[in-house]
Amino acid sequence: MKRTTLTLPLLLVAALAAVVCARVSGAGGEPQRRRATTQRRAAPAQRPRVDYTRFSHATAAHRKDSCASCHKNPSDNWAQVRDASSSFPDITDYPEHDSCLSCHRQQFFRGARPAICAVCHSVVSPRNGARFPFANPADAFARSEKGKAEASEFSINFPHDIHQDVMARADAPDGAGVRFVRAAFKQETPKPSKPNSCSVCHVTYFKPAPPSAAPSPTPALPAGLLKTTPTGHDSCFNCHWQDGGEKPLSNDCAGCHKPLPNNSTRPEPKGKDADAQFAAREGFTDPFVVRKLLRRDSVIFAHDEERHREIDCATCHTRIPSLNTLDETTLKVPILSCGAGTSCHVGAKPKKILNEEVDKKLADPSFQCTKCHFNLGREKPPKSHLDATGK
Amino acid sequence: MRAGRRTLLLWAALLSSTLLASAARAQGPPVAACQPTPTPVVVKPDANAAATNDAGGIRVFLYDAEKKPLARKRFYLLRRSAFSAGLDWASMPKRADFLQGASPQLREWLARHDCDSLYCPEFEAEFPEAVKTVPEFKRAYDDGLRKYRSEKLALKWLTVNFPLKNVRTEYYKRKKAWLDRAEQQAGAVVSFMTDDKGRAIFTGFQRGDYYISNLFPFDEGGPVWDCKVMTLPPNPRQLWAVSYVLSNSRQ
Repeated sequence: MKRTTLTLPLLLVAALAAVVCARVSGAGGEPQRRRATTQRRAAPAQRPRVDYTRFSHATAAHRKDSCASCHKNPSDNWAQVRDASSSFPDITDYPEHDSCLSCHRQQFFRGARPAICAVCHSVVSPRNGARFPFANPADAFARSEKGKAEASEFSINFPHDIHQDVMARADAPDGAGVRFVRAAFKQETPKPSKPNSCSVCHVTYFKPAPPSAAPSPTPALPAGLLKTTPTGHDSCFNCHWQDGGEKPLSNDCAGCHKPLPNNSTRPEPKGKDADAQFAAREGFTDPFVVRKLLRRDSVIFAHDEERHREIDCATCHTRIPSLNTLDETTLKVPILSCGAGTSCHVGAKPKKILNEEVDKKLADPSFQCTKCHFNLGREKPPKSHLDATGK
Repeated sequence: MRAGRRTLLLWAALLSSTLLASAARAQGPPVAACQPTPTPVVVKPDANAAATNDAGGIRVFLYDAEKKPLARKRFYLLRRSAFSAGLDWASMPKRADFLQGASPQLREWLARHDCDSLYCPEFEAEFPEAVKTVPEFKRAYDDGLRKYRSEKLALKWLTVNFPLKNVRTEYYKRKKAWLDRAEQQAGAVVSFMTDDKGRAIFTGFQRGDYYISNLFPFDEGGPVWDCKVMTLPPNPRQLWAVSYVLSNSRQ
């Protein structure tokens, strides 16, 4: 009786095992297909891994909220980040933890060193609150390690036409009005300045003297190549301050800061006439200035050259009313500005430098144009140059 | 008899419309002179001119009644004549209309410079003096000092706390709105600005016939230019062969 009781379950187990084996081996790929289907179904459930050490303004959830929902203007530390003579109410600090916690509570309390802390904190530790410098003031941030590695997610919309009309009149009579001084490390006796409203924002940039007198493999660049461009809120907030100023107000960040398309960051210019190595070799360290230098078609043109200094900005920058800081092509100076009105560098009789170099280049493609160009001087002359010289 | 009456009515309608048109025209600003200069250089015929689609160019010289160059003045390249585009000249804003509530000191101070808004650099240079003599500026300065606790900042941000917003930029805003409408009506292609010698060279638009105008007089009661211009065949080297002298001769 006992033997019979044991045999029946054993037989049942054996039969079940046989059925299972037969299905697995005999029925071919069907179970595999099912498994694969299950895996395929599971795949969409996997979320892309988020790198919480990097903050992006372009994230859909971040874009939904207004800038002011995180950024406080002015920050509590605005009076401390600049010296007393130049300080003004400004956004100079990171948002408070509260701005992030409502959505990122989980990430804030994950592990001993939560990854999300590294967005602001240089040391992730409950005992150390050290932080990276905030992106504003921009010049100080640009000099920091983080600033050097980080590219902006925004470009600035600055309508030149409105500013030109509303504040930059040029009719200061002699002896009256504003007198602009050259922002230089070496001050010269100022000449009586012509009415030049562009100087309200743009002054000649003189790079600091290089630390060592190492010989440069390239001929020395003339001084005063570039003009500065405002890089901070100090040029804006004195008119656009939220407490009674002009629109866009300082608490409407998106009035000027425009997100770059496709969640991108601002690409570093590759360099046309000069590249980053050239800029470094020549001692240009300010990242804003380097960016301007790399954008140029003529790296050698110096705004501060004696005769150029005498020419009005609008003579060469012919399209000031339609300048668009979001479109770099509108910032281009036409080649005709180099001689169309003045015959300075363009002309057949007597032969001016553009005509001379274009002729030489056409006769000998290995000839390098050097009057205005460094790298581009090796290239074929563009159509604009051929047209200007009548070739 | 009936035909005669119809003719009479038609003549009356024509006369009244002419009178109305001339009345509307009379409300407009005076017209300034335009003088195409003789082509100073030989224009080389360009064999490919018709085939190419390059942009044309125009050079303009602008002078005032005393033959002095007018620097940094805005002009528009238009598809239609400013005076035949149906602009509402009567609705052009006037500066004086935006001075309601201004003290006599402020009115006197504003009259010193020809500025459309309070943001002129010329004004800004005089702020330290203005806070002592003009009550509105004194109020703005005190307000700023109370808020920012910095004399320098209170002075620099004087316009932010300026009490009469109408005086600050309202005239400029209304003028801009008028100009935006006028630009649209007259078919503005591009706007440009003269340099310190009253010159403007502008390129980058389809060749053809255009009008150049300032649309809005530079001074109260001043003239409006309405100059028919043409670009030469598309060859940028001919740019300096096409010049127009725009002058306010006030004859």
